[in-house]
Amino acid sequence: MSNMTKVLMVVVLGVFLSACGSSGEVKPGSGAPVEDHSQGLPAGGASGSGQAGGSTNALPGQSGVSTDALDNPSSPLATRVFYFDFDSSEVHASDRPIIAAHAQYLASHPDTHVVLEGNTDERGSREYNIGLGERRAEAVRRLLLFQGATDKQIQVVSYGEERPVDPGHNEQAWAKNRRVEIVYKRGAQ
Amino acid sequence: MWHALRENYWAVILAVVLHIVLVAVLIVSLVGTPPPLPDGGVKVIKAVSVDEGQVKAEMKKLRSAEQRKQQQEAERQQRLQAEASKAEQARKREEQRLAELRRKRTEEQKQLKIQQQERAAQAKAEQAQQAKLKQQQAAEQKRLAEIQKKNQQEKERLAKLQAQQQELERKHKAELKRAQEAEAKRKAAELKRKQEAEAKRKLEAKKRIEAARRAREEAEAKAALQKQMDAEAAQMQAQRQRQLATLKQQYMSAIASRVENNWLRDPGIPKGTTCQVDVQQAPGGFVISAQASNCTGGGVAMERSVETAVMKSSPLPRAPDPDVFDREIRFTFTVE
Amino acid sequence: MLNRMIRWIPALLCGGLLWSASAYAVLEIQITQGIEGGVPIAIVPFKWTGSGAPPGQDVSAIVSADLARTGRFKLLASKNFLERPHSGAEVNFENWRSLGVDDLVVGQVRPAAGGAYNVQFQLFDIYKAPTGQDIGKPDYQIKQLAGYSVPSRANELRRTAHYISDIIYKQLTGQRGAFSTRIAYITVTHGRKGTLYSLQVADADGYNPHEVLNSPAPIMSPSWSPDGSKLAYVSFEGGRPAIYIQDLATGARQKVSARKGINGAPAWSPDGKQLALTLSYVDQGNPEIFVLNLATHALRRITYNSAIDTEPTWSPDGKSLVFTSDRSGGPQLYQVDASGGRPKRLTFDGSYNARAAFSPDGKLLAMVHGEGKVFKIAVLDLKTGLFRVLTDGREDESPTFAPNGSMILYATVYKQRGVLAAVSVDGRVRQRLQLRDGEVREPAWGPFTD
Repeated sequence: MSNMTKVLMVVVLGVFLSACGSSGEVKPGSGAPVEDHSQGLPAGGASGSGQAGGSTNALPGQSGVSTDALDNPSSPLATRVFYFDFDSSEVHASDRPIIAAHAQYLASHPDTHVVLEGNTDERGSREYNIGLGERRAEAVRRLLLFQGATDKQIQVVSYGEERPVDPGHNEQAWAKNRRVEIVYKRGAQ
Repeated sequence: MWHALRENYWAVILAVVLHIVLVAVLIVSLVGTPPPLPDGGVKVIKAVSVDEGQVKAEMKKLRSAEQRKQQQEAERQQRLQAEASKAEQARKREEQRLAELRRKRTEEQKQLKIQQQERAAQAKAEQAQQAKLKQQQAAEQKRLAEIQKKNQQEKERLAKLQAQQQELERKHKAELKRAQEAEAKRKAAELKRKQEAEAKRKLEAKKRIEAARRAREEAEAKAALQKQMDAEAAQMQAQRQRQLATLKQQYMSAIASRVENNWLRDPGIPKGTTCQVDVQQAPGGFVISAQASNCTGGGVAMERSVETAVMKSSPLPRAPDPDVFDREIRFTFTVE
Repeated sequence: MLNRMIRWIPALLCGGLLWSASAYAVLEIQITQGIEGGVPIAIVPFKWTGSGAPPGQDVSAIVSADLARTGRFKLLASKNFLERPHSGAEVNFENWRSLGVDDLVVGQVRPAAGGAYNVQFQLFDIYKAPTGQDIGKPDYQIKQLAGYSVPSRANELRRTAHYISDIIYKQLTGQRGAFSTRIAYITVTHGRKGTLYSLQVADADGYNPHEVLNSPAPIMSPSWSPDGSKLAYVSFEGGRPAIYIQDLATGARQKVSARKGINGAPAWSPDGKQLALTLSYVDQGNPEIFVLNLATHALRRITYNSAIDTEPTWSPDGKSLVFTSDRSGGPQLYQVDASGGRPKRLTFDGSYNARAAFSPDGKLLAMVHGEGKVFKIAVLDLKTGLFRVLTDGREDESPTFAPNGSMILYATVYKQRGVLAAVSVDGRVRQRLQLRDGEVREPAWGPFTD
């Protein structure tokens, strides 16, 4: 890390570390303004998923809403990670009731939004894995929609193999990394 | 005339004496006894009886013959005497002429002596004259010496000036000479070069002609040799060819093996790529040149690898027989 | 003349005793064996002729490393040298011949005004034979293939060394060297503040890295503009993927695509005017190939299939795109006209072929090839259909051709860490690149820039 720090300090293009916000900070080389020609969804339409790490700390710092089923660790809603087989986007049968529970929760909380983060293991090509992660998240999204959630409540993002839970290069790590996470954005919008 | 006579003087005398001796000999031989019969050569005449008359007639005949003979002899003697007296007269005339000549010569010598004495007198007079001249010259020289003495200082002064002048001139000339010499040298060198070039050209032309002639002669000689070959030779040759074929095969595989060991090629060159390399070798197997061509791929890497393979193999294996040697080798490299 | 010829014919046919086979026939010899290997070369350490301390960068060492990395050369270790000449006149070629080297490089580094340098070097072919024009020349002049004096600013010695490597490579292989080009790649470091992603650009040998962008969110898929002045990439900054184009000289960047869903796999067209990319905002989140006109921002859809269609790459002629699609079940490569149309499947070897990269001549396609659960780099010859696996890693990915087509750079895992490696196109030579700590991934080899 010290090397990296040095690199950062001497970078010709001048990089300034800024304070961390809830969204990931980015330091383009020049600090030049970004022109937006993207014509897509407005940037910032989604936020806050950057720091998501594992399955059990999906909503850190969200305590204090003790009446919500989301905060009950024994509720099926506490399970927010669904695993997949290699090169597959088929939801495991054991996960279907849990996804159904999430769908019911969303249906009863129309102001609640979720982001479905699709992930893969590190094997194969990266952009194909982005596609595969997207497809996994889509598979979960379809189940949620089928069981009562609305399209507006759900966003999908695929990280492919870019955000492994386990950085190992073995079967156990890969199995943990082939996943879709449901990230709740309660009242964020 | 005088000279010729004097030279032939003794010859004339000799001729006269010879004539006298000859006449004398002739006389003696005619008057003398008949030649003696050879010893033991006695001729036996067989006595034959003849009649008296016949003998008398015969005798008479013989006597008249004898008389005629004597008469003829007397006449001949007279003729000879006449000739001899004639010769005597001629000799006397000749002697008189010679005496006259001697007299004349004495006279001439006397004349010569007188002339010599006159010349001596004259020379004496000349010497006196010269002595006088010498005296005059001495006087003149004395005078000149005096003038010279007077001019000496002037001369020295001039000499000094001249010396200076000469020094300058000498320097100038030396420079000029150097320049001239350099120019001359340059010209000479150029001339030499031209001459050499010309000579070389001529020599080469000559060589070419000579080579052509030799080649022609050689060709003719070989054609002749060829003609001499008979069936036996042909058979021998066939045998030789078989032997050469074997040797050639050995030779070629020796070369191939060596070159293959030196062929280091880029693994990126695709299989099936071929390249031709034309090689010139010296008789010792030393590679003079190796030129790649007609490569089907591999680019510079292929070309360099095959050329280097050959160059590295130099010297190539020696030919087992001079007849299988060839200056030119064409390699075909194939990536397999 | 003809008469003479006719007289000669019998002699030729029969072959007299003195005229046996040798006189006219050229010996013809076939060579098929030989040894595969790099060209043996010696590089004598360049002499520093200055009075002070030698410069920090060892030019001859950099050249040696450059040439060795290609796998096409075998460098003689300097401990075996019989002499250490620094100019042609000092070379005794017999010494080098006896050491078995084909080529020799000598040189010197001279100080120049203002702390600059002048690097002189000469390249010799030990076996070069004299031609007719060489009569009277010294050996080193006959054998010299190249000789240059290269002025170099104080901080540019590495660049000068790469330039020299380019000259030598061109002389010895006939191909343009790619030592002076640059590579882009992504590094990932894990620290107390979390994971940091960085987009970097370095010399082709991995030295001299510069950071282009860093972010705590993933950065992916760098793609060079054809003139080498810009990079397109995917950044997840803000929690969603978007495609940016960044000018390397000024640092200025444009967000060119941030649509719903995937914005991925940017690929610059050879003419620099268009960007092929993967978007999933259509058909309920299905990844499809699009082409974006960079001047008008007009978007043209290329694929229509419910499968994953992604990772487009342009053929060098700009007429077609090759992409990854799992429409047959598993990922395979397909080719489609750049204006759209019916894609044609290209790969049939194995169940997993993805992330194609064209060779600069358009003849080869490198890809990630999965065999069971291991992934290697393979090359498909588009003309012959010949398919070759080049690497033997377990998780090799992101192949990218050198601009001269001689090598493929790719990402691999070495000692549990992502590193970059280079493999010769024939697959014979593989070498890891010298890079800093952290995970390194997604190399993209830049174009020739002059």
